[in-house]
Amino acid sequence: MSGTTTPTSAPPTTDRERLAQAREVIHGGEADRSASNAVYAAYVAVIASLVYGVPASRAFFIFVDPAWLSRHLTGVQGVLVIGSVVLGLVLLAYRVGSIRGPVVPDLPYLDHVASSALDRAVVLRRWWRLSLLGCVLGGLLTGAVVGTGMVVAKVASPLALLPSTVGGILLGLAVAGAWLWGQVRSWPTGSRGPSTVLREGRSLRALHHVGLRTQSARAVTVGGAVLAGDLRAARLDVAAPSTRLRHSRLRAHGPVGVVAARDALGLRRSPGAVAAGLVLTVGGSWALAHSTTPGVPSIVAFVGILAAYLGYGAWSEGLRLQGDNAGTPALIGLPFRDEARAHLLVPSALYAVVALLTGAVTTITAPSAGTTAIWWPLAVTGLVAAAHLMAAFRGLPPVTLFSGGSAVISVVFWYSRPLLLAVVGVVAATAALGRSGVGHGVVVIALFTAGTAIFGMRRVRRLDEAHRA
Amino acid sequence: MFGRRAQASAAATATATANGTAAGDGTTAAPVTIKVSKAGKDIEGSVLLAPVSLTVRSGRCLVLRGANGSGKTTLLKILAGALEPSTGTATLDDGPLDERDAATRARVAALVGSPTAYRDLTLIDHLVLIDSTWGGAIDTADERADEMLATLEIDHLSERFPHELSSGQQQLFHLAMVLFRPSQVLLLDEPEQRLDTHKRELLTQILLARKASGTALVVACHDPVMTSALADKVLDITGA
Repeated sequence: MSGTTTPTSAPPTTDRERLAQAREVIHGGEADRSASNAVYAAYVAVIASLVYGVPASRAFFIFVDPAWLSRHLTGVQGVLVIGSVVLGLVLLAYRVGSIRGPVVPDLPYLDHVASSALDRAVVLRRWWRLSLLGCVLGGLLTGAVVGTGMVVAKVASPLALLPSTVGGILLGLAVAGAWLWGQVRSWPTGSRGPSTVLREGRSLRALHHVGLRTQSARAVTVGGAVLAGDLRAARLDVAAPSTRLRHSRLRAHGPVGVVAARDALGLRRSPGAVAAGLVLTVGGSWALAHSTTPGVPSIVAFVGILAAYLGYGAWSEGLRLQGDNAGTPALIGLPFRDEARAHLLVPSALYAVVALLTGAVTTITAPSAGTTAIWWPLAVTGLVAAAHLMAAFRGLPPVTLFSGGSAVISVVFWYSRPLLLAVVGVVAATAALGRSGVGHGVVVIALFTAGTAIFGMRRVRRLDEAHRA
Repeated sequence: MFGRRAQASAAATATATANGTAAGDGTTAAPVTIKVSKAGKDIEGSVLLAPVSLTVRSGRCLVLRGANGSGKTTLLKILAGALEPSTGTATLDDGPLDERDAATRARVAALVGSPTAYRDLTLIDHLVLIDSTWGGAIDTADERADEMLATLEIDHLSERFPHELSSGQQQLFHLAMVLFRPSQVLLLDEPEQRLDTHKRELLTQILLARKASGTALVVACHDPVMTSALADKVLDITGA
């Protein structure tokens, strides 16, 4: 009688082997497709860059007067502009890292694998490397697309392709490093100093389980909110809770005054929002003031209104909170419409003061800017305020938008309507200002402001009454 | 900018003032009657509330009972003027019951679901904000707000933000906001939720005082002790 022997494999000894076994169990014996999915995503990104990116880049460089661009993006001014953009992107990546970092595995993996005794650097490495690869590839493609666009538009020689591509890769690397460091520093204790920057092992071991869980749960909520077109839910989930100046009390005023005082107190408790709004509004107003100078391309007005819109938005939390809470039984004594109007007072006043001061400083410091530059940034205040009224009370996108093959584009367009109205209005008015005179520019901006305000107040009424069905 | 609705806003304030409803006071001058006649609600064939009739006058309390999903919250929303009945009518002093109407808002306060809270305001800030928008006296707003929080025994939380409260404390904060605004009709959907025994007794005493001062109460409640203490009449809502 002969006995049968079952071949037995040696138990895993290293953390890598143990992790490989755990992953095999998680995937139920089937092949892990994350690597092939990443390759496919990279393939799609490369194709999209070639098909859409290069023509768009070429059109941009032709649209923006190449001679004007060459004058302003070379020498010290060019270094300052490009340096500011790079710094802004790195700071943004750092901030995003504290909300949703590059290392966000799913919750079951975090609870059952990452919480084990396995080396956390080994357990989390895959997510970090995928994110790093995405950033570097994104930087490479962006640099290559920008460089190719410049070459095709005959703005630069083919040699420009090399520095733009290498610059893109370096930018991607810097963004990835700042993104991970932001996630590491989002946990208040442990190893989180500069020695962790772009040091894979140290950074991954510094990530706390609770912090990872929080970010993973938030990623699920935000992802679901985005898929459902409910960006309000995503915003509320991402927003940092207020804890500052709790001893500063809201002082009683009249019905309208107390709403404005509420917004002012809310801003005092959010210094980050005040600073962000100030930087964006100053930058936007500066660009809008310059856009009135003859010969300056329309792209300057475009960038200016974009920044100004975002700056105003940073100061409009009270308005958005009212929109978020529409439909709940009334506690505030003001009619819904009047409360919405009252929430416009503080951001509009702040915006108007900053826009006027920036316009005046621009006129004094830039000899080419005429007197129109003083008041033009101020003239767009009404349009920006009305666009934010529309945005705060837009509610949820209609269900019909989600059907058909162009759902994503439809929803993006639906969300962007307030911003699009502001951009089209200001760019058109600035163009009219330069070509047909001040009167025409003022008429165009007034028409857009009135139209957007009417549309915005309609949205306020509709959202107020939507729950009565 | 506020000209178009100044009249409505003034009407709301004037109503509150004429009725002597200082914030948190609850005293009323003119009696009110809220009446529902065979009101039901259905949405696309799904019945949320089977037809029901009721009348509640100032100084009286109606307690709504019923299984989950029987339509208590739907009925309270109709009484708050936030939802229109599919059948039947709901009136306030024989007039329309519509929260878009300033007079309705001035008289009816409701805790149905979670009310609005600003995440960048503390508890005391919320009460001062509510008081000011209803035209409360500016000089005494702080004292009255503190007093309301003390009445619900959450004055020690006055400088906390809403996200820093436990679920029971949040319920007390929601009650404080609703009780603080002037009203002649008070609609509460399961106000005993998440409250401990002592706080339920405290809330019962507060609601009895409001009833004695002339407020009309409609309360959906699952607590038999609170129900027996508060109710002048109990309406059992049968499943839709």
